[in-house]
Amino acid sequence: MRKKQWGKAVLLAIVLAIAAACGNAGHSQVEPGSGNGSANATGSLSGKANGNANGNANGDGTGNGKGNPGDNPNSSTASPNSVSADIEPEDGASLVVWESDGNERKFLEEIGRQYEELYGVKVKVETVPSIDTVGKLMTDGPAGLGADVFSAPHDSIGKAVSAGLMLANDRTTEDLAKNAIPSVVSAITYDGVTYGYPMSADTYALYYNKALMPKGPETFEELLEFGKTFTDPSAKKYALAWDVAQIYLVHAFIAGYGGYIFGQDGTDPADIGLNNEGAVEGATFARTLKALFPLNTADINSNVIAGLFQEGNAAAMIEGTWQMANLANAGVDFGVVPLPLLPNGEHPKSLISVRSLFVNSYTRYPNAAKLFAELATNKENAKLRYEMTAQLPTRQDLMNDPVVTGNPDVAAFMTQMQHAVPLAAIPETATVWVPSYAALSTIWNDDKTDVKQALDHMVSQMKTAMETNP
Amino acid sequence: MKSNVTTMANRPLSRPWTAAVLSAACAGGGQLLNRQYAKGALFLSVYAIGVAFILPRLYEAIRGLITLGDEPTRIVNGALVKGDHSIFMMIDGLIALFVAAGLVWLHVLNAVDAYRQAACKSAASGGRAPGVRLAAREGRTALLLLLPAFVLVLFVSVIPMLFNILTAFTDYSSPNHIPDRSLVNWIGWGTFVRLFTEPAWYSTFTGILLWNVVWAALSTLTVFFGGLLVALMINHPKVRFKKLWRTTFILPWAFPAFIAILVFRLLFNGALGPINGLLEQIGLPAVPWLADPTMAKVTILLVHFWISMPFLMALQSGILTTIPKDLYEAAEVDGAGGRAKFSRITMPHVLLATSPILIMQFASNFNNFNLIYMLTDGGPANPAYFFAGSTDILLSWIYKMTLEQNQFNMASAVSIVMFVLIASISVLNYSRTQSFKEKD
Repeated sequence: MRKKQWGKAVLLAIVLAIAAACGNAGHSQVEPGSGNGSANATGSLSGKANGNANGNANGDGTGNGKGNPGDNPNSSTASPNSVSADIEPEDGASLVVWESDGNERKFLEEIGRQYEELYGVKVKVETVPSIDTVGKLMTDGPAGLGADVFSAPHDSIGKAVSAGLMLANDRTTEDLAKNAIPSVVSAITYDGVTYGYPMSADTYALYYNKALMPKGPETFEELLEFGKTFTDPSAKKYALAWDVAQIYLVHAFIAGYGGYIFGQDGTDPADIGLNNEGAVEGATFARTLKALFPLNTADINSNVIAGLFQEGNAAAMIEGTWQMANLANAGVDFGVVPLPLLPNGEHPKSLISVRSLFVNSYTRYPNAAKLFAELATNKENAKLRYEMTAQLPTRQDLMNDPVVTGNPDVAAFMTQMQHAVPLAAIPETATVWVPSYAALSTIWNDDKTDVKQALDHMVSQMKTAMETNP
Repeated sequence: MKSNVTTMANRPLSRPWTAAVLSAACAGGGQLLNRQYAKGALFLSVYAIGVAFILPRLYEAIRGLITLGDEPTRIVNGALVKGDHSIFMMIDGLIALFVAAGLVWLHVLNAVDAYRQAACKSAASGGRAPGVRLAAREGRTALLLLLPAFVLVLFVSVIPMLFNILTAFTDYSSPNHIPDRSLVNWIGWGTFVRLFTEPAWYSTFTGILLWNVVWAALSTLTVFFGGLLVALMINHPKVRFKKLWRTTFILPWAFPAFIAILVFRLLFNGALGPINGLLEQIGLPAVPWLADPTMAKVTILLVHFWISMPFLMALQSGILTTIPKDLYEAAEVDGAGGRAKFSRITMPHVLLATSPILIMQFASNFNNFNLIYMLTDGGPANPAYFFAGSTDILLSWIYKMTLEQNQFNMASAVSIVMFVLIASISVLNYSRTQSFKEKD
């Protein structure tokens, strides 16, 4: 009997030991998603195109799997933004605000305190992830249960506007035109109407390891030159690690040469610019970067990239803002520069995702709600938000503010934002992710792939997906 | 209950048909004729409520099932006007169909009841008809007692299944037919026609189906024979430390498959995984475990073998111990060698006991979503396929179509085809296996 008990104990110990060992296996936590761009249905930028387990700029998990809305046959007839006269909060007003948990929520609670001092109106901040607010409003809004002011990523504007959930921004448009980064304004504008009160933005730039690279490269030629001496596949050393088949990143090269996802500033699904001359050139150039990172796409995912960079096995990586905190925690001595110039002298055009406050069209206190959004996004509070959350501000007038210039990494991201374009907010964007991952994978993995043919095939797949049920 | 004298009461109550017709025309009429006043009043009031309140709604819901809505939600002058939500209408209509069927059944029952009671009355020459007790003896209480379970099954499995089937006959898909900002329409067999004629869909479907069948067959067979081999080795009389071996081999079974698969994903990473690192260190070329379409399929089979073999091994160890020893002894006396003993005694015994398990394994491997999704997520990418990668099986393809692409109608159509395939294979196999044949 005794023996048996011992045997069981030993067995249990072995199992536990193996479990522990496997738990620490590899160099990074195992991710539930995958490295291969399974785009979420909405193509929600805030979840990034590759559903990975990294927190993103907005501190939410990955994208939501909510369906995307159908096309709204009748376009909204909202009036163009005209700033209304000075307004006062309605009598007996009280506000409910939705925001993700974390520092961004603490910030809005702080604004709530300011607001109560100013107007004597109570503000309650409830925790609803930024990514889910629009979906929740679809059901709660018409029932009158929704928040008066809510935070959401810009790519849910299309969905929300066609459901009539948002009131246009008629308070701060002049200020935005003067002081906000242009790509941010176009991100929160839909059908010619500006809806949001932008709080923060997110894009990607080039991280470099200061121990391996004295200064960040200004052009890709420089980086390729550096790679000749640094890249060594047998020693697992790479000059530049990045998620090579994600259209989210490859867009920077494609657009730098004149390609685009949808024409008319991302509003015309019939005009796909992913297989025009510029796009072919951009994708061909992206493939030349294989000299710096000779891996197969099946072996690349965001954990591999972050792992390589943190271990000093990758001299540079292309990643979003959220990596700054991770790297600082890991104790890596890193710097950030805007994406290096392309051989044609252009800046790569990264994709930008903007997080804004919106006013619920079902609110009982529209004036109070608008005043709250306005207060939360004025210059002082934009600064305060940056200090509290470390998320990139969207105001150009903060570009030269010591709070930004004091941090060169943030300044680099702010510069990259000047060359960024917003991801299209139309429902058809959902058709981009899967075909593009397949096409960009074959282009990258096989040097013999005809780039033009692969991109043509991808566009025809997108079109089939759109016309499958006309 | 004393009846007042009415014109009805003076008639001889020997006309069951009158009662039935009365009840059919207006529930409770026949019962009143039979002088069952309480029962008649109850039926009549239920009938009145039904006609007044339930019928219009049923009509609306069933009409909704047929039209799937007339007006989507839209914005008029900046205000939101709620429209029809086709998918909710479809589900409401389905429920309404069942409710309507139930009501028709009740109505028929009430007419039959009137007829029977009248018949009983004429038989019992004017006395009051035996009521509840007779009904109980006829087994209607059993029906009543089964009703809750029946309703539960209806809502938990029948309606969802019908909903799934109906979806295949609509155009419910992104981006143009997602309610409630646009309507969903019935398109008949259109989805199936597209699946089998449009090259992009057709080639994807056949390619994935072929791999799916090959995968299910190979994974079942490798694990079955692998498990048998290990069980035979452990059970061999010359093998010592049986417990140790058994424990070692059972460890993968004890380990959570979720974690194991994700760890394998790291181990098999072509560039940075430890397995290729090891190969390179001993001077062998790196293997593209997950990067090459064919190799990725082999890797999936290997990982599956590691995870599932212990279960089959344990099962077959158990079966081997049930084979009577004297059979082997008799065989040895007759001069049979090891091979003969295996093929004439061991194999038939094992197959007889495990063939139903084989079929179950085949069916579950056919839909082994976890392994594919977590190990390769369908990769490596395949540009020729539509919403799928080289190692996707039908189920993971359906998952991608519904949860990532919102192609609900196509996913439903594929799942129906898949169901027909699996069901027919299973039925064929079940009817053929030894263990299902009657033996005395």
